[in-house]
Formats: sequence, structure tokens, C-alpha cells
Amino acid sequence: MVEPLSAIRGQDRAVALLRRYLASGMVPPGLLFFGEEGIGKEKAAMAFIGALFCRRRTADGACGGCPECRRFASGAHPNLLRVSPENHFIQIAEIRALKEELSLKAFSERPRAALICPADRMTLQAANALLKTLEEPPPSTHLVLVAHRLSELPPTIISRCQKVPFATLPPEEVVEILRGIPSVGKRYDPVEVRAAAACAGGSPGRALLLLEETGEERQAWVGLFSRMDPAGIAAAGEAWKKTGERKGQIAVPLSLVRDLALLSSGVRTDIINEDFRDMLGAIAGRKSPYGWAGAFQALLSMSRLPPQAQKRLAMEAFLFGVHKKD
Amino acid sequence: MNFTVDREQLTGLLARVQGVAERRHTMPVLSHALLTVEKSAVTLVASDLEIVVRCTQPVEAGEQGAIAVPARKFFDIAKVLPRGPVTISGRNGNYVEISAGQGHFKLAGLPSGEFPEMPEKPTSATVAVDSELFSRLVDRVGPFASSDETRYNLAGVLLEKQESEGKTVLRMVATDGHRLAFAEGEVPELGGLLGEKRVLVPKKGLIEIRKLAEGGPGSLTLSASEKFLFAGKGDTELWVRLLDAEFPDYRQVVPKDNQLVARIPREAFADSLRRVSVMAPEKVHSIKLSLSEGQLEVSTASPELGEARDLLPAEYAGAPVKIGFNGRYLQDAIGGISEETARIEIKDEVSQVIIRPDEDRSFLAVIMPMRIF
Repeated sequence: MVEPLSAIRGQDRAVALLRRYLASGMVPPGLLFFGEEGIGKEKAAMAFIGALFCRRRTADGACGGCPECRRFASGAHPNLLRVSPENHFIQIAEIRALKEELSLKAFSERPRAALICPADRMTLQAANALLKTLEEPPPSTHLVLVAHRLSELPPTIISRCQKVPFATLPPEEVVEILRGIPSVGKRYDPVEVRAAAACAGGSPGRALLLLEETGEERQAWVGLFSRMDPAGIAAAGEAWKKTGERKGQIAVPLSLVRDLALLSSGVRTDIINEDFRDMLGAIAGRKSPYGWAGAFQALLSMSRLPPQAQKRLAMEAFLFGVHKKD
Repeated sequence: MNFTVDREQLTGLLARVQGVAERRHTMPVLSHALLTVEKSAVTLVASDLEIVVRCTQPVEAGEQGAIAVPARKFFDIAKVLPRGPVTISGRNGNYVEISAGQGHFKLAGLPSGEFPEMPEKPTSATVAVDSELFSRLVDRVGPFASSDETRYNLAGVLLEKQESEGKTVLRMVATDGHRLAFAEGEVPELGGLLGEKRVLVPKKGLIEIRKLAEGGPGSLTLSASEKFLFAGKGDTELWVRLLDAEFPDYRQVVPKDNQLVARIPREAFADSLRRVSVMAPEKVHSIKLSLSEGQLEVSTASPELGEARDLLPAEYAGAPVKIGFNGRYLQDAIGGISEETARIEIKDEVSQVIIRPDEDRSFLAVIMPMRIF
């Protein structure tokens, strides 16, 4: 289904900007949607591109009913070109394939759009190969780049795009979005949903991943936190390195450290891992609330490490840090 | 949807479209062919979005309808069906049922609405071009088009109209930046195809049209629109998406004052090149031509492999000259000549060289030499 622009929640500023582009008929050839992962950038990009293709566009974007919209919804619109990482990164070959496709005249009479997502995973060579196209795309062709971390994009790319900023959402908004998803309402307790939203850093996408984590992993993490076990820590580091790409992997330790921070500051409500309260209570005393908050930040930044980083070392350092008394 | 068709006709139909249906998985519906039954004809359309092929076959139709069917699977099924009539009918839930003799197949398809909208048949007048002429032109210039993936504007062949001595001529031009060739042939009327404009056709698409030209007697029907070059022959139609790029001004590249002229027996020259090429270094294929009075020496040398040398007679009266080339380029240029004598026009060791038939003006190749001494 092609979604209207109003389906993008909590991004009033970005959506207003996109509406203005559509209304004025002056859509920039290069657009850069940026902001935290999981806050609706790709969804917005698809809604925007759908609106570009639609033959009966309304103020709220695509009509959803015309032949163009139906083709777009089935994923078979010939004028939409998608570029995504084949193996961690978007390589130069993928950008060249895109350029080759763009060197031909557009297949149908509608505008043409290329969606590069996530653009911050382009290698430097790929980004450089894109520069000329980004500066002067063929007529009525739009390049939409979606980036989770602006700092990973070369300035030469950023300066050639019109930027569309996406903001993180307040926890209440995240809770509301999660409740709107049918499967979430059925499977999870409202308390769980609230807790996930609270430690998702304003990203509904990440909150969803936090929710999907299972209890077994928590047991293992609590074990690692409670006993100083160098061999266990080394093994955890090794496992972390190997499976570093699995989505939501960070969710369990993140929820535990959050609880530890709350417990050490004396808060007794809103604990996510209720079932481990006693064990967590014993660990919490090791550090001040600030210490645990620091650990929380460390974990969060580990979840944003690029794929090539020294993940194993980062995880080991974190685990040893947990055992250090303030 | 319901119709009956002979097995041979069905396999023939599918053989023509299934090669175009895409094998990549970017858009699942593109690995399908759109099967449409109307009145008393069945139409199959397949496309990889660069080329569109459409085949029509008169059939006994019971019921109209349309569905997208996996092209390759459908072809595989058609090939193994028993000879004789085949009944094909659409079923609810996007299935087609294929029955012949005692064999029954149920093949899952996709709704016809998911298939991209295909271009219309061009409204501009079409022109007839002799199939053999078209194939010959493509064969002559095709090898000169670039396969460098970063030079898109050179990855195509330019089709343009020429007027010479009151005749209308279709000229094809290709270059990869190191060499260039054009070939032309007389066509009664080209107005409808090119008018005043020229079109740049991707090599891949042109080769597909060439395949169409080859199959069976009759001439090709051609027409160009803003986005597509259209080619039709018999019951098959092709659309090839045009390149949206600037082709260099190739006339500037053709040298005008190459004074050293040699006439060489074409076949002996081609044989000699083939012989010597065996020993040419693999990456650069460097081959040296040494012209002196009355003879041409073709040679190559590489430190790793060794040497090869061949001598042949040549009609040449100028000062001795030695010049190096990529042997493959030479072979492609000689390959475009059908006359008995080939003509080489040289200025010096570093300037472009012309290779063309001695008399015939319908083919010309320009090659940059390389320094190999």
C-alpha cells in the first residue's frame, strides 16, 4: 500500500517540508532524509516517492488508487530504483549500476526516483561515484538518500542535497505508535510497551526491537553482570563480534542497565526486568546512578558502531567496566 | 481466460519472450510474461525494463483475460508437453491451468495489474529496413561500442540519417574512445524513423533487434519515439529504451590527411592477424605492423611468451613505417570489410589510422595506434 504523508507520525517539520515541495512542484533533484534509525525516514521517503508517481495526487500525497499507485504498492514501479547494501556496504558497483540505469531514458512518463537507503553505508568510492549524478541528475529524476548517521556521509554528498531533518520522538508518542501496531497490543503488556519506549531513545523502530527480545538472553546477561568471570566475558565478546549485525541484539543489556540505573538511584517502580529484581538489586549498588547512566550511554553508542569496528573489544571493555566499583 | 494453441506454436512464442524476461530478482513480476487473450489472438509480453518484447499468435479463444506467468517455468512446461493442442485457462487466485493430452499443470502467476505498463506502439510512420542490411551494419560496428561501465554514452550505437548523392542512407556509428567505426547502407526512405534526429541505442538492445532480423525472411519495421526504438517483424515486436546521453562528434575523429596508403589482400591479412595474435601479450594484445615497399610484416613480441612473425604482400610505395596496435581492434576492423582488398591509411606512428575497404565507401574504421617499441 502507498501510504499518505499523514501516516508519518511525529515528524511534522519534515512532512510539512515535503508537502511544500510537492505543492510547489519544485522537488529538488537530491534529497537527504536524516535522523535516528527507526523514526520513519524510509517510510516517509516511500510516501514521498509514491506521491511523485501518483497521477491523482492530493494534498496528503499519493491517492493509493490510481494504476501508478497500485504498481508502486506491489513493488513493481519501473521508475523506482532502490539501492541498498548487499553486504554491509553499498559498493561502487551498485552505484555504477544505478548510473547505468539512469543513462537510459525513463521507462514510463512519470518522474523517476532512486532511493538509496541507508546512504551512510556507501563506501567512500561509491559516494564519490555518485557525486556527479547527484549534482546533475537526468531531467525529472530525483535521488532520495536516507541516512541514519549524517557524520558517516562525506560532506561532498551532504552539500549536494536538500536536507530533510527527522527528529526523535517523545516517549509518549513512541508508546502511542507502538500501541497502534496490532501485533504489539496483543502480545505485550502495556507496562512492557512503556518501558521499551522509555529506553528506545525516541525511536519507535528501536522500541519494537527491544520488545521482541526474549527472556533467555536476559538470564545470560544478568549472569555476566553479576559474576566477575573473565572467560565468560571473553566468550561474550567473541559472540558479540560474530553476530554483531543481528538487529535488536543490544536490547537486553540496554534494558538491564536501565533497570540498574533506576535501582541504584532508589526508584522502585517501572522496572522492566521485574523477574530479576533481586539479582539486579544486588548489582546496582556497585555504581552510582551516574555510573550506570554512563554504562547505558556506552551501550547505546555500541549499538551504533559501524560494521567494521572492533566490536569484540568494545563489548569486553564494557563488561569489565560493569564490574568496576565506583 | 481460456484458449487452445498448438504446442509448437506455444513453444515458439515462449522461446521468443523468455530470453528477455529478467532473471534478476529486483522486481519479481519482471521474471513473468504477461499473457493476454483477446478475441482470437494471444499476446505475450516480457521485459527487463530495457527491452520489451511482444509476440502475438492467432488462436481459438474461448474467453478473454490476462495474467502474468513465470516465463521460464512456462517455457519449461511447454517444452515437455505432448505434441498437439494445448488448452490454457486462467483460474481463480492467479493460476493458469495447462493441459495437453493426459498432462495437467497448474502454474502460479501474478495479477496482470502488477505488470508494468508497457510502451505504446509508436504513432509515427514506420520504415522498412532490409533485415540482412540491418544485421550486417550491427555486425560491423557492434564490436566498436564501449563495454566500459563508466562511459555510458559510448555503450550505444548511433543511428543517423545521411543524404549522399541523392540517396538516403542509414548510418550506424560506434566508438569506445580508442577506436571508431561507421557502416552504412541505402534505405529507400528513413524520414519516419529518424527524421532530423539521431538516436543512441544501447548495444544490448541492438543485438536483440539483430536477432529478430535474423529470424525468417522479410524486412524489419523500424520507428523511433522519444524514449524507444521500435522494431517489428512478423508477429514479434521489440521496444529498446534509448540512451539519454551525448554522442561525441565522431566526424572530427576521422583523419583527412593520411598520406601513406597500403592495399592489402583482406583474407590473407585476417589470417595473418589470427596467426600472430596467438603470441600477443594477453592484456594489451599488442601487434606491430611494419610496412615497406611491396610487403607487410605482422609481428608481436612479449618478454614472457616469445615472438611471432608473418609476412604478406602489400601494395605499398611509401617510406617504411612501423606502427603498433591492439590486435583485437585490427581484427574487428578487418572483420567489417567484405571486399577483397583492405586499405590502410597512415599518417605517422602516433596518429589515428583509417582501415576501410579499398573501393567501397560504406564502412570505415579509425584506430588509435599504441606505442610498443
